[in-house]
Amino acid sequence: MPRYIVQRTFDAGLEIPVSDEGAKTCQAVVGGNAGYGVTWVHSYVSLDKTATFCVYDAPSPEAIRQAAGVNGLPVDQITEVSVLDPYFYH
Amino acid sequence: MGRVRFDADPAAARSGLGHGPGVRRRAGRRHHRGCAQALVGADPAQLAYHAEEAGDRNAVLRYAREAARRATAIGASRQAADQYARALRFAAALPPADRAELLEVYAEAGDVIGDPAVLTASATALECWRAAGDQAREAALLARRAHYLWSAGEATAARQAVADAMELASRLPPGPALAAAYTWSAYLLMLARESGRAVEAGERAVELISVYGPPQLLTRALNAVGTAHWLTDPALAEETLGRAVEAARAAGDDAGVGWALLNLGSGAGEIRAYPVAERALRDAIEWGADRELERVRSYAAAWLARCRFERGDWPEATRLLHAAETSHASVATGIVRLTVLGRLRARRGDPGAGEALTEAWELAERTGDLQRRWPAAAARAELAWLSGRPSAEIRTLVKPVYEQAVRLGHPWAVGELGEWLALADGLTAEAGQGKRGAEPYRLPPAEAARAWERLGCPYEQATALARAAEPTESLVQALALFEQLGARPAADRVAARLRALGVRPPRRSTLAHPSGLTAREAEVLALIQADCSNAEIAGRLSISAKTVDHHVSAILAKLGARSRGEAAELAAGWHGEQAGPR
Repeated sequence: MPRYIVQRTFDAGLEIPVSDEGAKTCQAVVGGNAGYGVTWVHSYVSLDKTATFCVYDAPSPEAIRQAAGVNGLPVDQITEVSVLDPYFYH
Repeated sequence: MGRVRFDADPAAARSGLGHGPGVRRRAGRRHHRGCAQALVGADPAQLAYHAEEAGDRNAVLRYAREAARRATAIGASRQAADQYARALRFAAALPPADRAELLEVYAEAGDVIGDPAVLTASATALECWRAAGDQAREAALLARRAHYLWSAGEATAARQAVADAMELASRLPPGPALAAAYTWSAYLLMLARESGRAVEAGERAVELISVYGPPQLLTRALNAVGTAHWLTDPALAEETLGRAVEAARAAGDDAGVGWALLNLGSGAGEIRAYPVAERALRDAIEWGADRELERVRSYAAAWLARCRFERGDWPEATRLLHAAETSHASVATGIVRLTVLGRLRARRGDPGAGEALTEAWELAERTGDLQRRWPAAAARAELAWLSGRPSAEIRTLVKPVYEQAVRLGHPWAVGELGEWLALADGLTAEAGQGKRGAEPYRLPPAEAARAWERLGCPYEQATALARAAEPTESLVQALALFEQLGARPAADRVAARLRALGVRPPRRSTLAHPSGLTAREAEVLALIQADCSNAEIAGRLSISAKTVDHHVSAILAKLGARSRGEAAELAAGWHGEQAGPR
């Protein structure tokens, strides 16, 4: 399954608190993704919270977009990636 | 024989042989013969099964063929093919003419479900007709087989087969064989967009069929003639294809109805007559799905995906592309699907555009047909341009197909490819239209944009606006359209041009609603602003309190708000600003 980086922009700044509220939001996203075979691995968030870089495993970029549609998440850019880790070169 | 089966078998009870594995192993064939006797008057499919297990050749041939006929009548194409295959397992000793008949109906049934055995079965049938010395049936089958070959992507072999059929049939007195040769010639010519010759051959076929039959071919001949008329006389095309649908219905030809609806839809789609196209394609999908006509259903889904894509409904196009993905899809379905997928990715800036389009192009090239090469070439040119590849590359991709388009006189192909050629040569887009491009391509940018808007093609509308001579306002409009579609590369190009002109592009919003709320979330937010509690919101929207809870969490997250009150305040602030023209 290919891995993708998904860039998103949240104009008002994304706020997912570390609480039950936040957990519910994350669970809802995971649920929405499941219908399309899309797995949210984890995300990196800019300090001002307006940009996120999300690591996803998915069958295709279309599946990512369909899942994003269901979850109401914006998609700016999808890039297919492979992992480069200094440890692998040890 | 004598396979042991442990599932409940009512026939066993009735035959008095009892249940249990021991009983079965001993009974074997005798058991199945007993079952068959006990079940006289029952479903031929069951009788055929028992006959096969009993090794009773005559019974198999009789019941399997009956079962297949019944299955075809109710549109259970898969079962029909399976029953014919069963009969064929016992057909080796049949006289060649009977065996050929059986192979022919098997191939017909297999064709609609996309069974790859169609080619070998029909080849064997040809040998049988030769062994039986029946040249008329041989010629008719050669012609029919040409379309099987074409569906498998073997365009050259297909054209040869139809030529062989015509040669053989012409040596015989006129009859159904000659009618078949003209029908399938017309059909292949239509597929190659040789419209004039297709109409000529098709009309000759209709004449021959009316005198000599067979009536089942009439729908195909009308289909060929009707489809060939799309470029010159769309009203006549629609009417003739309507007659093709009726002819198929009258002959009880489910597959024929499917193909006629399909060509009504795809033909209209090719000239961007979207309302007619989409209606016919949806009918074809429903018809194909109901009657297990996999080839019809999947091809129609791919074509509807193309129409919805061109109309800017990219989410629905995505869903339809998925529906068009099927094992045993015809080569044509694959080409349409891959081309649309590649274009979609290219316009969105998503990965995998190049791979999809390269595959589409290679498949298209092998068919040599304009209707396949043109969209693939245009899509590759577009991807190259959006990726900033050199003009020389674009020119190489487009030129040979453009020349074919000009030769065949196809205004939409000439228009689209001509535009890319002109762009590659550094000319204005209209300059590439010397040879009869379709209307929007021949117009200057502002008028072209309006023409594309009337057709319902927002991406082309935006592209035209971006070329217009009044830079700022039309560039801003183009940007808004591209943003709404999610056309990232095109939007970025336009935004860069605006910045170069010293104009700050309006704030980006990748979804229709500010801050990316879904429609439902927006409803909930509106009720929060109206000071409703979660329970009240649940009541108003007829959803559970738990669902309201989820929506509220999502709203807070997206708005960057820490409380409902804060969210309401933020929302109140939106009405002051609008992001660009709507």
